Amino acid sequence: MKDFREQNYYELLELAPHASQQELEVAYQRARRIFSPGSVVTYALFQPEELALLSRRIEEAYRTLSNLEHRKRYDEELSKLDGTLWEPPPEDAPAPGPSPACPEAAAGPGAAPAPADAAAPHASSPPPKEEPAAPAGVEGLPLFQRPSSQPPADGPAQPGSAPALSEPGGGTAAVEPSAPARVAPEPAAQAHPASLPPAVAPTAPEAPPPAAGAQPGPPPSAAPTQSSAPPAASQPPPAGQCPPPMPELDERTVYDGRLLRQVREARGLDLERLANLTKINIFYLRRMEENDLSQLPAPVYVRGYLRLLARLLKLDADKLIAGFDALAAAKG
Amino acid sequence: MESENQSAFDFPWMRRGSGRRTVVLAVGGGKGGIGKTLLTANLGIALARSALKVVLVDADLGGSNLHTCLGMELPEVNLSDFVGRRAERIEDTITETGVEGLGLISGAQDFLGSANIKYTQKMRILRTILTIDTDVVLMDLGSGTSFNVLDFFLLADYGLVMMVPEPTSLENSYRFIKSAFYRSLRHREKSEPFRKVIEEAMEQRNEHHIRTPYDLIRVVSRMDPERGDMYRAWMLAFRPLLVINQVRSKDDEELGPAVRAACRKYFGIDLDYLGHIAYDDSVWRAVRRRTALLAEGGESATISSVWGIANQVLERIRELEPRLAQGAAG
Repeated sequence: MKDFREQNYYELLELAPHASQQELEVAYQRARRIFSPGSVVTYALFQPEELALLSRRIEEAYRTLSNLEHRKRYDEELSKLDGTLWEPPPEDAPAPGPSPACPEAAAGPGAAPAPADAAAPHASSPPPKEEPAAPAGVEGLPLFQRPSSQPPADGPAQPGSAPALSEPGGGTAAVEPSAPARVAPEPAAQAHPASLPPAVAPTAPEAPPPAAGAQPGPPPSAAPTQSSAPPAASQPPPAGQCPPPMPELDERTVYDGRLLRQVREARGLDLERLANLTKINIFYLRRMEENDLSQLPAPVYVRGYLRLLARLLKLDADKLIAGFDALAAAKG
Repeated sequence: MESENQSAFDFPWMRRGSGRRTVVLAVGGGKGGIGKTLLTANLGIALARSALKVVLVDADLGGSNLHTCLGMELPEVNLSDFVGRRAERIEDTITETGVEGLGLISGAQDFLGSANIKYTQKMRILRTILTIDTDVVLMDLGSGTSFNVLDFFLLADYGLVMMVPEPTSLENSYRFIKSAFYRSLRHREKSEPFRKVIEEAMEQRNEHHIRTPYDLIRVVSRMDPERGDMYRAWMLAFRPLLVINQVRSKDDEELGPAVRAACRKYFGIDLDYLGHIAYDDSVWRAVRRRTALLAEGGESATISSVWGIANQVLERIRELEPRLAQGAAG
């Protein structure tokens, strides 16, 4: 989830990246209704100037996305920031196949059959899926986000599911940034291509309303930390750099965080990409892989995460959940 | 999954045992007079009719009247007996409601101005509620955003926020949601400097100009990026359930999804919207007769929407405790 000032156009309108024009129309009308000045829903939340800014951004979003040409350009810029979510949908969920240089990597039990061109980011023949894959932009939130429990008008896409972007033409009411005085500066590990308009510098805590310009940055689930890898590391390993072999899965296999890590690495996924795909906070992913359950949310959420991870990593969800339950019992 | 013992208290996220336990629900919402008590009573009946063992707790310590909504006389025992140690076990204060499977722990009537119970007394009540031997505990909370109310709310596995389609109710509910989230952070955070920042955020005017959880996370991230990630994760895990009550028109029906979108946009908090309760005359007729709506039987728009909400709640209870999956609602 991101502040609306930092949301890209899709997030602003709560749209999936591949939404149709009709979906765009519905989302736009809805956003206008909810965030128009005088709306009973927002008056107690937003300051008038915030609402004015938000309305402007919603208009910009609609103008850009409703024009096919502009939308295409905008999408290209987004994918430069983070290709993950702007790949064609079939590539979003399954782990990338092994690179051609490491054909043996596919030999592990449960590994998806690898199409010949699996290493290409936009492979035309996606690997077959065992079951419907986690749709981008929906699965990230805790278990209760299931569409079945949501009214249809309020379901489709969740904010926080897409990369942040300093969008062209956005942030019209930027205030002069001043240096953060009392706290450490923002980490510098934020990636944005030089071709994009410069972002407004981090707003000082003292600046009254935060700057209107968008701050580029990865999605919250993969927010940079001082210790995290540079953005380039979020790509699958390049051809020639083999991921570790897939661990054997048999009745002696211990289903725990270590196995999660092994399988993830064997599938050539790094944590940031996994966080992006699942929308599970990277902090939680790290703790799960470390078998550190003390910082995780309520078990019901963890079970949801595990189910999602199992689906993505092609592991047996029940065994994985049982494994973590056993771990919890041992520790608790 | 793992117990975290530094805390003085065992909030749901600290209860990690995988064994059998009671599912705790709370109905809150900031403003008084919006139907919290009525919903609690009727939700209790609906869950009990769905083959669950339910204990209602009247946690509106200053103005308890859950018994009235159930058509009961003032129970002879209540929470004050437990607090005043006249009752040894909290179970000894449960009164039968006349609905099979549904018990009531009535609110304190007499002691200490009640709403101002001492911290140690509150902690004892909170801790003990978790131990009640039943499937579900359903608490009716008082109004306002005092720490007492918020702590009862945060005790719940599922905290339900209620609103009615009126600006004042929306305003109070937003404040309630924000306060509850900050309070939950304050409980989780062990480091003093960060606790100070959270406490500051709870003040309307503060040094860091924190107005929303986003602002708070921004400030914390600058001080400690990994902590910022942790707060974001906590924000995602904080998911109060939302119910809109007293819905009279088509416009009102759209309020729930709109409130959810607005909270997401402004706070970053994603409410889990359960649905709305239609308003019709059956409600006040039942209130006048001092009977619970669902106890009377019959059909009305209100009754069927209360069942709709109850089924949504049931789904979540079973998600949390699959062993409670027998028995059908409706």
